[in-house]
Amino acid sequence: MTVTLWTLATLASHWRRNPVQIVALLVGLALATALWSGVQAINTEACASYAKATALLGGPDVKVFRPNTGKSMPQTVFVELRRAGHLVSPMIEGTIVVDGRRLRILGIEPISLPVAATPEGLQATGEAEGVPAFLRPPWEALAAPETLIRLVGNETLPPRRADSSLPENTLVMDIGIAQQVLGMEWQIGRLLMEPGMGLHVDVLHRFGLAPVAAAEHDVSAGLTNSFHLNLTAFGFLSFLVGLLIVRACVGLALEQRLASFRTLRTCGVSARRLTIAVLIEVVLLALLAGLAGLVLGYVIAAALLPDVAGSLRGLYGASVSGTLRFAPEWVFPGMAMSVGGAVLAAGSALWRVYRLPPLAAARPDAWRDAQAKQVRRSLIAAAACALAGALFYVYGDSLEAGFVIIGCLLLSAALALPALIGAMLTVLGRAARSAMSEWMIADMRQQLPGLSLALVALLLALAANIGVGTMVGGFRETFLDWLDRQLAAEVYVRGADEAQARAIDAWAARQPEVRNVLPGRMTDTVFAGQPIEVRSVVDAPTYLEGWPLLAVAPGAWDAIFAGEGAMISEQLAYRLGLGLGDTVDVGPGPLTIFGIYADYGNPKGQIMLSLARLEQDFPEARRMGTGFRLAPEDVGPLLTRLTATFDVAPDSVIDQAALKTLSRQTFERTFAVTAALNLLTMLVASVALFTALLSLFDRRVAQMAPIWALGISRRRLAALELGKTLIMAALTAIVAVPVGLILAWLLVAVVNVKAFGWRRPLIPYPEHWFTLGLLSIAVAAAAALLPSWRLSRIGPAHLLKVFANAR
Amino acid sequence: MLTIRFVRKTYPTPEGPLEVLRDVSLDLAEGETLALIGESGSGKSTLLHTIGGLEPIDSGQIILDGTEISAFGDRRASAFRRDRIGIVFQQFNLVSSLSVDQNVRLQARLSGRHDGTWITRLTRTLGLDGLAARYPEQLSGGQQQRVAIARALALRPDLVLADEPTGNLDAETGDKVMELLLELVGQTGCGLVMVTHNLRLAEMLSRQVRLIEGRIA
Amino acid sequence: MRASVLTLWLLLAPAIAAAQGFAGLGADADGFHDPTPDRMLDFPADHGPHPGYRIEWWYLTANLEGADGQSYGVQYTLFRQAAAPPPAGEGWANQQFCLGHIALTTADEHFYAERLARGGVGQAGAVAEPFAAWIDDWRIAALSEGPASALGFGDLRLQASTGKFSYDLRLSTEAPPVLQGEGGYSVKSDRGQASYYYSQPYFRADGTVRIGEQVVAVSGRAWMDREWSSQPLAEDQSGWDWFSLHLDETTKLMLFRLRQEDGRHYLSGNWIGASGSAPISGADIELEILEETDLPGRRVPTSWHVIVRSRGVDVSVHPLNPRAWNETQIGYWEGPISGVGSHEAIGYLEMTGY
Repeated sequence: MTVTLWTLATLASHWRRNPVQIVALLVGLALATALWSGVQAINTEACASYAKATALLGGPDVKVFRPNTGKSMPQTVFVELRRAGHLVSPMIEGTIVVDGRRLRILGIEPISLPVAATPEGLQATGEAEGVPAFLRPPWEALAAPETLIRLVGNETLPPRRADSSLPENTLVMDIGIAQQVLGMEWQIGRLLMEPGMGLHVDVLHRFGLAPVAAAEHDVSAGLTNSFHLNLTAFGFLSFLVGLLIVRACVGLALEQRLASFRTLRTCGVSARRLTIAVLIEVVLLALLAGLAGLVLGYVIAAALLPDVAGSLRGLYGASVSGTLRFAPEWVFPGMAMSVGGAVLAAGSALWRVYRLPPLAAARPDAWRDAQAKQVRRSLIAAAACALAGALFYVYGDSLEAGFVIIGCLLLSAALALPALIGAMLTVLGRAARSAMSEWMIADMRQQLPGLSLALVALLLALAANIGVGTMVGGFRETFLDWLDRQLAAEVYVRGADEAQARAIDAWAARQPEVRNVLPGRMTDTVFAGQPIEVRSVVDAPTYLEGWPLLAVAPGAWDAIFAGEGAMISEQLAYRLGLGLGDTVDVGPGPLTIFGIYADYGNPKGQIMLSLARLEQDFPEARRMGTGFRLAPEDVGPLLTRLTATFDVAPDSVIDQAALKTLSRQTFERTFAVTAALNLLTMLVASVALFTALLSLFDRRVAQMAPIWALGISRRRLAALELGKTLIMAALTAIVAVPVGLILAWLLVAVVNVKAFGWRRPLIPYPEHWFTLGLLSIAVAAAAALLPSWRLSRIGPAHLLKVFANAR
Repeated sequence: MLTIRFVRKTYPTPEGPLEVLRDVSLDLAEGETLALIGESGSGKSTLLHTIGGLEPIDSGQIILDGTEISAFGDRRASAFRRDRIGIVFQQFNLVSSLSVDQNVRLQARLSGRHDGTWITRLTRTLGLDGLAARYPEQLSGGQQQRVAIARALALRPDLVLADEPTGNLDAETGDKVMELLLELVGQTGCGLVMVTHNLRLAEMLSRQVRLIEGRIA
Repeated sequence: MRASVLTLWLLLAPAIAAAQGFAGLGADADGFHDPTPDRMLDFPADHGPHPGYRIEWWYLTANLEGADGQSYGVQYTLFRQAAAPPPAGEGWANQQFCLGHIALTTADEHFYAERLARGGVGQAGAVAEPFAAWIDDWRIAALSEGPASALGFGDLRLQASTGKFSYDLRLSTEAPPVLQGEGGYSVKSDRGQASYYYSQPYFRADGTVRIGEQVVAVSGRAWMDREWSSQPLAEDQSGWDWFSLHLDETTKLMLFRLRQEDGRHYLSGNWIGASGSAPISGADIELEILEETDLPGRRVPTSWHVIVRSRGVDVSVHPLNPRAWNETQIGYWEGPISGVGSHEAIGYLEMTGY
């Protein structure tokens, strides 16, 4: 024990004498942990929010039924089923707008409600006897504490009590009062049953009911995963980069202390004890850095979460709490990743310590020479990885395979990077004319093995940025374009009921400035066992020209308006393997598919028919807002006249420009998150580079000394040193662009399709690469500045020592 | 106290095995000081390292005070070295991040045989009093070697091994260091085996053994 | 059984709990009607619900003989509980709650089930004409659409089922309802607690019972009790022991003992014969425990010596199954009994508050 303690004390004395190194080591590891745990924290929080939302419906085991068509059914369905002995519980759900924000209203019948679906607030109450306040006037509602605060002072809604198990912006109340609040008296939306119970097919048929698949009422299975995929990809890549930093740091820390290790060995510390001491040191440092990383990760997550929550709410309507909690789900994996990663990264170094002969000639370069020899071997391994990736691409057909391919790509690129940069330096070397530039190239080649780990970190950071940036950017562009087409009309108006809607349509048709009136209907149904939407389209040229068609048969629109054909969304086509010329059979007769269109962000498949055909086949289909086409400057006056003529609720009139602004804002928030993560990843890479340069410093001095002796000033040498680092960073950036693009392509064309069923066009953003290139050079400059500055300040005596020691 | 019997040691080289030590046998009496002399490559440093357990031997025996240390693996050899043997190297081999004082006490602390009074006397004798808080890089070569000698003797070893202790020092400093080393070895009563190619220094020890191509001449 | 805590809250209040004196029903019935001795019962209107009173029940028990030679007992109960005085409120706002208990007893087994529902939307409730009382698919209702005969219930069909057991019985009688107490006003304590109480003890029952997959044809006698009140028990009354006995084709006996904390139990009953119904005073009745049964967590007197001196009744009654405990949210003993001695009797025993 004494031996281990004094050995540890001796090891630690190195850090006291070289604080910059330990700071770099800790910062690198902490940043890596922070990014990873921060992203995990965001994901965990979001998933917890979804889980709350899902749990409200009783989780995956509770049986849920909904009407075959439409969003609601008469309450008598519930009574009839109960009186026929089927133990269903009614539920109604809807949204209202309070102070300009959406509020989800969930009406439940607590007595018949499956136990698994009962909110905590109803299970634990202080009331010892009598009917709970939930069930008697004035019908107390339950809401998350955050929601309660939001609703303080509201007198129109029922009184409220806190239930922290509920998702935000949701008000759970008795079904009776919920029907009133939603204006849906005598209507119910869904029926729930205890797990293990069910309804016979005949019963379903008789009452026009359809079972709701677990996935459909599980929000987390929906599109929101796309967003989390981005985050997870970032977190994982940054952790990889972090591991490389740790490896570089630990390698540096060991190499610089080789002489001390040998002295300890000659003083009688056995190889085993020394290795254990180094391992203890690494674990302690990892724990310390991991803890700091967790705190930092928490700060990052807490700062980003409101934006993430905003994005998810705006994009997909998924409600995520804006506040963060320390959860074991991300705290423990964060620490484990930090410690495990550090030990893993230090593994080979530890092995070398174990095998360290106490008397081997003290040549710190030995490791690097060995690494230089590894370049060839790495190249072979890179080729093997690339081949494995290619095989997975050809033969794999799953989401998992997609991730394996990405892993192969990144590994292959990382392994090949030193060789690629070496090759580029050879080409540069041929072009070199002056003795100085020849020396620079030669020197960079010599420096390469020592810097390769840091450069790989930079490569991965850059590639991840390009890849994820391209994916998100492409998403934004196509989504906004699609939004433009979907919201072709300048104004959308929803009537309070069918009669008012018809009146408004007729009124609008008489207004001189209105060029087109575009009514629409939509209904929900089940097709091939899947819940889908059926929507209408009207024959208006300005509307149809911009329709986001992915595939179309000749004469498509004519066939559709003749009531003979249909178009289907990409998701539906992908899921059911349908193509042009196939038929879909949802109404009274089969319809031929004449087109496939993009319908981003919709977890359900969609079929589009002409309005006439839809009204004929689905008389119960509900109205969508009617679109009016008119000149943008006429919108204001028209709306003024409309509200003067009709009693329409403020939220029933949608100004397209306002809606688009809202959508854009949502995307900008998404981008804020992505940009912040981008920056952090680059920061991690910068620390990696800095650490590597520091580790090379002593060796650099030895190589600089002869040049200095030849009459090159220290200042000039320092500038050259900085220049060389920047060139290497630039070369890395050049390699990163194709790697990033392949990554983006894999994310868009493989992972996205497998995960969500639609493919987005890949749009390259050269200006983004350029920015990233500049950023990587800036990062390299920041990393190289201190070592270069130190070089410029180094005393001549220190340089001379190089000669004195060279015996 | 030290008995060496038929020690053989071979190094693999690209040109085939190189015999460095060929049946070396040697004895060292209690308190005796022995100089190993010979040309470069004669095997004298290798012999010293095998005595210290820093390098394993191929065959033969090295016995210190009745313990066959050549039969030990790394763990026991390390422990034995830590507790019984002080080594002084040509390159001083100090821990650069430890102060003079910490370097002096390092092995004594590791072995758990830390004697403050003795170490104070030792540092005073070696003239290191005023340098305790300095770091190796701030010392001259002679000072560094005096620190190394202090470290080797701080645990009151049974045997001191010295490998060209004055090799990196000028003649005057070297002589001073040599005098101090012998004085302290005398005070401690331990044995000393010293490798040198300096005959004048070798003469200062009680016995001289010459190695030629791995054999005792 | 479902164990939602919510269910518990509701069950803390209803009828059976009232007998145990901890549900606030011993307290003043603010806003609710109180039974008065001068009110004449009015049929068929009084077959239906009385939402102005706090609690009410439709209680049917049947002693049946199976085609397999075994004896069976059937219980069907619908409790109505008002959480607030009138007006009752419409739809989901209705503050009337219903609790259903069903049970089936053989010599070896006892099955029971429980359901809870809200009034107002049609899931559970009762109507006077044509008569029906139901909770979900547990239902007792008039067979024909026509007016009930002789102001009684006419022919009824009783149906209830769970996964484990079910029954489907046809109940028929020509007899008019029998008023308990004084013309239907039944006093429950010396301090004035009372209820409206009438019975139909003359039902002939036949149909089927099912246990698991096994269906058996059965026939026998059934007895229906109707009772409503707002404050049926005194504060210090902790439970009751209630007997309904078919002494022969026309002679029926109802008697009960309300146990008081001071040990001075309140006894009362009615003699029902061909000439009508007559109250029996407490002094005329003697009840003696013959045997007790150990059930989980409690000891219940399951065999009794029943004496009504003025009518020459002296019988020992024994249960078909001494373990006929309904382990519902508020548990009680309810099972078929038979008596020997002065009369060969069959009937039902209900014991609460143990």
